[in-house]
Amino acid sequence: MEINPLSRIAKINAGINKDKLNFVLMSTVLIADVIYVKMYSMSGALTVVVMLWILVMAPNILVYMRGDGKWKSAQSNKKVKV
Amino acid sequence: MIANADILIPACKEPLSVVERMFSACQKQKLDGGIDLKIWFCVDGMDDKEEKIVNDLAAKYGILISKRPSRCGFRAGALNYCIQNVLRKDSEYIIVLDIDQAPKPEMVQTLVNEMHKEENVDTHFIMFPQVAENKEENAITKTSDTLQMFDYYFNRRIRSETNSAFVVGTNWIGRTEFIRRIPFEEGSIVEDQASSIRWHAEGAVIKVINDELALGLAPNSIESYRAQQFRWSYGAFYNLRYLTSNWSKLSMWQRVDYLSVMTWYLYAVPTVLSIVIPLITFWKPITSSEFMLPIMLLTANIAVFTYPIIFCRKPRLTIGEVFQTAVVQHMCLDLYLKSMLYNILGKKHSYVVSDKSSKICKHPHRNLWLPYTLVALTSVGMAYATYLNPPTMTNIYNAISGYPMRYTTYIIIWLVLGIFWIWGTIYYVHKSNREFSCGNEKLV
Repeated sequence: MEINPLSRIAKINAGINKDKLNFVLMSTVLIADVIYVKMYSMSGALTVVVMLWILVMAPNILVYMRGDGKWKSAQSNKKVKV
Repeated sequence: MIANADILIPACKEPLSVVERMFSACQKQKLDGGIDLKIWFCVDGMDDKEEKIVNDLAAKYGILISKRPSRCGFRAGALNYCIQNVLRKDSEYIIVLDIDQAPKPEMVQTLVNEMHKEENVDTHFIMFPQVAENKEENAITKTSDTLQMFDYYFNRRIRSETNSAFVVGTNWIGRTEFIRRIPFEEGSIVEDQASSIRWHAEGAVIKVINDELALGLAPNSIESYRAQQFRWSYGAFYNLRYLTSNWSKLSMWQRVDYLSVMTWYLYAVPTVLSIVIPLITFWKPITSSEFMLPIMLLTANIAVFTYPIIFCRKPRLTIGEVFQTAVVQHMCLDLYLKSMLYNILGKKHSYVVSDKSSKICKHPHRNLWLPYTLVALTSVGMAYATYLNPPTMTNIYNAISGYPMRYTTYIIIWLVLGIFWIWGTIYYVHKSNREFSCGNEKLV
């Protein structure tokens, strides 16, 4: 039976951990920021702006890093690390 | 064995319709007989006429009144007064609700059952999501609700797994003994975050469940949304002092997550600068690479920071809804900058309640001064760039055929991107105000 390519894409999409994807995207942009500031920036103002993006993005990356890819889950049954 | 639970509802100058909606919902709690429930309305500022009406309403619905003699310590002061002076001595659980969070009939029973579970023996607080009953009213209510969903179903849930989510001001149950021992912090207008820092430092365990047990009212007007956002951002920066004083007692993830909540509001600075920075390129080049690189980089930064919400699942959001959420949030960029400045200068901000009663904003333009300024600045830049690099047929043909574009063409692209963002804010805010006006006319 022929599988519809769109449903195959939807299936692959559903299997992706979106939090980890966000983590990868944010980390990539963060690394790109650092490389850009080091190698190409010729303006102090632009360097400051990019550095500010790094500052506000870095803590958020650490939230996505812990994401399980689920939108909701039965939280109260989980063991909390204290 | 009977569990003694008390609902605390702090309120300051709230519309009577909202008060009655709350009282009526509280009266309909369905309990299985194992819970002795008392409901306290913690009055925090009311004139004699309003007080008489509220007293009558309270008597009608069986609500108890706690009125403190002086108004010290913002909202936390009203809660502390009730807990320390009025509440019964054998109270086991406190449930705190904002006046607009009308509880569903199963709320108290569900929360007490959760606290009684074996895995929650050492848990001090359990939060549940804030869901807006009026989320479809306009773009502002939709934005507010979407951000709350994102916060509870992702941010707060993930953070609670490392015991680093803070207890918000409403929609939670806590152990009375613990809160009596370590009361709310009264010095901050965002007392929930300030108190949580101290509670975490004293070893509190804070969890989140996904049961939607109350229906709230999201801010529905420009003023109410901006008042709420200013209070939150001002308080977040202000609370840095509580974080530093408790720093050594917090775990690594608690430090990271409290810091991330506070630094989040800093995004206003690079967002505004990213939009206006092309203007400086008229005087000097800003990159030694391809001119497109900084455009792509800053756009990618704004996108990955603002749009992770795109991955919200159940209900899935459309691209339009995600864009709307992001740009409505941009309506408050000036407030985030202002709150930062106020904190740096040590300027005090008094507690302003987010008015949930419908009011049309007569002067929406005044609240949008920053988006208008950005549009004006970038429009001047675009006009000048177009003058330097007129869109002649040769230039357009060259651009289509992949011939390297002239510098000013890149500037135009960059500025158009900025204007797209800012015009989005202006469009959706005015649209919300219009939809709101229409809604009111129908009522009249």
